[in-house]
Amino acid sequence: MLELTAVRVAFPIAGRLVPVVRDVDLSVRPGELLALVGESGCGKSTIARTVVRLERPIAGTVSLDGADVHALRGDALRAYRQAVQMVFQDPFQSLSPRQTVARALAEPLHIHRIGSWAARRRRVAELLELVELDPGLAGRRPRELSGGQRQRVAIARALAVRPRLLICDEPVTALDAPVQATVLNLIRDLVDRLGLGCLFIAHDLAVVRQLADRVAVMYRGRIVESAPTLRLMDAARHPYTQALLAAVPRLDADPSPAPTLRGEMPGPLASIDGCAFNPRCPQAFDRCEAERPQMIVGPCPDESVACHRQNQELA
Amino acid sequence: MTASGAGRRRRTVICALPLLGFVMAGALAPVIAPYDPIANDLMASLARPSVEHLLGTDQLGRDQLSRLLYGAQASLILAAAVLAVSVTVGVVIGAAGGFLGGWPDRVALWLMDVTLTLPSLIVALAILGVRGHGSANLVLALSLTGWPPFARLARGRFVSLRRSAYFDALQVLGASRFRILFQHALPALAAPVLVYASIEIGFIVLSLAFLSFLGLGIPPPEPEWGQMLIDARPYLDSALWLALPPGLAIAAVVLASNLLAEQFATDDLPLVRLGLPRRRARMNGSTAGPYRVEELAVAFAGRKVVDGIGYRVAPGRALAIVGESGSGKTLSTLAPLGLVDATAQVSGRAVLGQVDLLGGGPAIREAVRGRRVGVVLQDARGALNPVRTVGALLDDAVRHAGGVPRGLERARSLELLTMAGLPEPESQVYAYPHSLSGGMCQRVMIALALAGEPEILIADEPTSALDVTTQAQIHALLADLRESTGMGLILISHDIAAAARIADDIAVCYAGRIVENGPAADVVSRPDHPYTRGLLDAVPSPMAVPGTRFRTLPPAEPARRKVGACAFAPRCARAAKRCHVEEPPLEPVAPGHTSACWVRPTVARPIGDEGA
Ligand SMILES: Nc1ncnc2c1ncn2[C@@H]1O[C@H](COP(=O)(O)OP(=O)(O)O)[C@@H](O)[C@H]1O
Ligand code: SF4
Ligand code: SF4
Ligand SMILES: [Mg+2]
Repeated sequence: MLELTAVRVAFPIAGRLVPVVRDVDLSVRPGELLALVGESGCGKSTIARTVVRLERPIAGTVSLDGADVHALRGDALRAYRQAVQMVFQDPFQSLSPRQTVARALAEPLHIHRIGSWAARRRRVAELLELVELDPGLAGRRPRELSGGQRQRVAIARALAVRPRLLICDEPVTALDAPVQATVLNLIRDLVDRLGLGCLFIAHDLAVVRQLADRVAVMYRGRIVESAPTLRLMDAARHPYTQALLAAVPRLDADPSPAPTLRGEMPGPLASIDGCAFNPRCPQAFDRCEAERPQMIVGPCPDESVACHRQNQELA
Repeated sequence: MTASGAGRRRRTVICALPLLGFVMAGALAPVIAPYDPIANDLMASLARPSVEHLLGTDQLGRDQLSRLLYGAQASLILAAAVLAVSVTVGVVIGAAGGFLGGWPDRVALWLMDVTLTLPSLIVALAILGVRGHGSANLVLALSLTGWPPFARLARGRFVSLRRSAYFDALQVLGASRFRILFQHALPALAAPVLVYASIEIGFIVLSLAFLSFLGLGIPPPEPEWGQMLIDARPYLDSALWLALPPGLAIAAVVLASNLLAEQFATDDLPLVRLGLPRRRARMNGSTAGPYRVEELAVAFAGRKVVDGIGYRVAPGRALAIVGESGSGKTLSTLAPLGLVDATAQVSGRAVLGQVDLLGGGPAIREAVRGRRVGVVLQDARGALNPVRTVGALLDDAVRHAGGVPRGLERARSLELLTMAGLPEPESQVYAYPHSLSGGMCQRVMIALALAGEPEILIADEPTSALDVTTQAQIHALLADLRESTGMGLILISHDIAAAARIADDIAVCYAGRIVENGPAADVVSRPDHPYTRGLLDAVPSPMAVPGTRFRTLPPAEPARRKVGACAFAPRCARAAKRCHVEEPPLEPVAPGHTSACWVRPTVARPIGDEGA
C-alpha cells in the first residue's frame, strides 16, 4: 500500500541543502508492521514526516495505493489525511495541555466533519475502549495522566478517523520500561485487529523481535539492510545491524558493559567516501572507502543488504 | 525541584499584591470612595487626615482618599485601553510573523526593531503636542510604542508552536490553519499576555503621571495621581499628607510591576540545580567509607513519597536503584544533597565519611555538592547553561571544586573531558552545548561531575534519552571511571536490564520504599519480590518467539496507598490475605539479598511468624 521509491529529503543546513534521507526505497503492505531502526539523527523521523506530508522530498516519490502523496489536492488530500495517521514520540508534546481527553479525541472528528454530536460522543467512548483506557479519564487533561495513558490517548486520537496506515515514531521511547511493554502490546493488537499497515520507528532492536513482521535498518540516511524479523535478528548480515543487536542489554548474557560500536554517527555535513559506515566498521577493508556498496536483493526476494563483505560472499 | 522554587513563588505573589490592590481600587472606586472626588468643599479645605477624611482634603476641600481611588480608576481605564490596543496590534503583528514565517516574519521583525528604537515618552510628547490633549490621544500616544513586547511574545510562541510536535500532530490530523490559529494557538497565548500586561501596567501608570506632570495628561478636575502630585506641590511644607499618598501609590505600582518583571525574567538555569557550591569550605573527614543512607523519608504537605529508604554504597562499588517513574528513586538520592523543593520535609540519616548530611543546616549539604558528591542528570543538554562554552562550564566547576591553582583550570578541564571520553577536547572546549549530540552532552555533564573528584557519583537516568549504542558507551564509561577513580556509583534507572549491566547491587524501589535489594546477579537471576519479577518479565527477550505478546505488569493503581498494607498488593498476582492488612518488612532471603514480601515464591511462609 505505501511505497517509497528513491526518496531523497534535504534540509538547509549551514547555508546549503544537505540530504538527510538518501534514495530510500521502502514499502509497507496492508496488515504488516514494518520496523525502521537506526540511531537518532539517521533520518527515520524525516521519513515518517515525509510520509505524512510534513516534509517534501526533493527527489523520488511516496505513493499510497499508487497515488503520489505529495501531488494530492482537495478531496484526495482530505481522504489521505484520514487514511494515514501518526503517533509521535512524546505524547506530552503532541497533545494539547489544555484539552481534555474527550476533546482531544473528538478533534479529528470535528476537523473532518464526521458524525453528529451524539455520534462523536459515542466514537470517543469507543476509542477509549479500543485503547483500553478507563472511560472515567475522559475529562482529564494530559498532565493528570501517566505517560502510558497519554500515549494511549495519542494512539486513540490517531485512530479516530479510521486510518488504514499508522505511522509510529518511537512511540515508547519516552516511557518507562514496564509501561513500554503494555503500549507495544496495544499497538500490535490494534494492527492485527484493525488490519492496519504500520510503519514503526525504533532506535533499538530490543522490542522489534516480538513486534515486527519485517525490519529495515537505516544508517546515515540510507537503508543498509532489510529482512523478515527473524532472519534479521538471528542472522544479521550488515556489520551495523550486528552492532545494534549487540548493544541491547541482555539479562542472560555476561553483563559486561563493553561498547559494541566506537564513536558516533557523523553528522549530515560530514562527507564520507564509500560506505558511510566505514569509519566505525570493524570489518571495513580498502574497497569500503573507495566505493559505496549497492543494495543487493537476495537470496530471498524480501532480503537485501548493502555491504561489500556480503556482496563478496554472494558473488 | 529547585530549592528556591517555593520562595520564588512566594515573592511573585508578594509582588503581584500591590498590582491587585491597584486594580481593585480602580474597579471599586465608585463603591468604596466615601466622597465625590470633584465636589469642592472650601469650608474643609486642607483638612488634616481625620475620621471624616482618612487622608485629609486638598486646597479645594476635596476628599483625598476618594481622589486617590478615582485616580486609580482613571489610570486603570487608560491603562486598560492602552493595553487593549497594544495587545491587539502586537499579537496580530507577532502572530502573523511567527505563524506565516518567510517575508511576513521579516516585516514583523523589522517593524518591532524600528519601534523599539523609538524613545516612547518622546514619541508620546510629540503626538500629544501635535494632536492635543484628550484620552484618545493619550491612548494612541502610549500604544504606539507599547505593542512590540506583545508582538515579540506572540511571535516567540507561534514560532515554537510551528516547530512543535503538537502542531505537526494537528496538521497530520488535517486541521486547517484557521482552526489551528483560533482553536489552539491564540487561546494558549492568553496566559503569558496577561502576565506581561500586568508588568506593563507599572510603565503605563508612570507615563500617565509623568504626562500629567507636564500638563499633557487627563485634564483637571478629574482626579489623576500625577495631577494630584502637582496640586500638592505648593503645600509640601504645610500639608505633606497631600503628596504622600499619590506618590506612594505610584511608587508601589511601578515598583511592584518591575519586581514582578524581574521574577519572571530570572531564568533559574538548571546548573544551579546541580548545586555547584557557592562557598569554599573543604570538609574534613573524607576517609573513604561507605556512603550510608538510612531511614530516609521525604514528604510533601504531609504526604510521604519516600518512606524509610536505606541503601549503602562502598567506594568503588556501583548500586543501581531501579523502579518506575514516581517511585521515589530521584528523591531518595537527591534529597540527602538538599537538591529538593524547599517545601519537602526530609528526615533520616545520610552518612558520608564522618558527616551526616541530614544532621544539620543546608551548609553541610551545599559543601558536598559538586565536590564530594557529583550529580549527572538525564537531560544533560537542558542542564548545561546554553550561553557558555563547554570549556567555560568546566573551568567554573573546577574553580568551585577548588584545589587547582588559578590560571590552571583549563588544563584540568581538558583532563576531565578526556576522562569523560569527549573526542578532541582541545577543540570541543570552544563548542556550545547545543552543537553537541546528546551523548556528547552527557559526557560533558560527567566531566563536570568529576571536577570535585567525588567520592560518590549519582547518575539519574543518564542514558534514558540516548540511543542504545550511545547508552552502551556511557555505561562502559561509568564502569571504567568507577574502577579507575575508586568512587562509588549510584545509578538510577527505570530499566532493570541496563542496571544489571553495570551495577554490583540492585535496589528495587516501589512506591517510596525499597522492596528488594541484593547483588545484581542474584536479583536478576533469582528475584524474590513479585514486582522485581514483573520488571524482569517486561524486558524484551532476545529468545522470544516472534509475534508473541510482551509480558507486562498490571497497570499501576491510581488509588491512594493503603496504610498498613503491601503497597504492591493491588497489582500483585501473588497477594494473600495478609498482604492487605500488614506491610511486609525487608528481610533476608539469601546472603546479602533482602526482599519485602510476605509470600515466598516457592516455600510458603507461615502466616504470623515472628519475623516482623
Ligand atoms: N516538588 C514536589 N512536590 C510534590 N511532589 C513531588 C515533588 N517532587 C516529586 N514529587 C513526588 O515524589 C514522588 C517520587 O518522585 P521522584 O523521586 O522524582 O521519582 P522517580 O525518580 O522514581 O521518577 C512522585 O510521586 C512525585 O510526584
Ligand atoms: S561496506 Fe565495508 S565499511 Fe560498509 S558495512 Fe560493509 S564492511 Fe563495513
Ligand atoms: S507482600 Fe503480598 S502483595 Fe506484597 S508483594 Fe508480596 S505477595 Fe505481593
Ligand atoms: Mg526520576
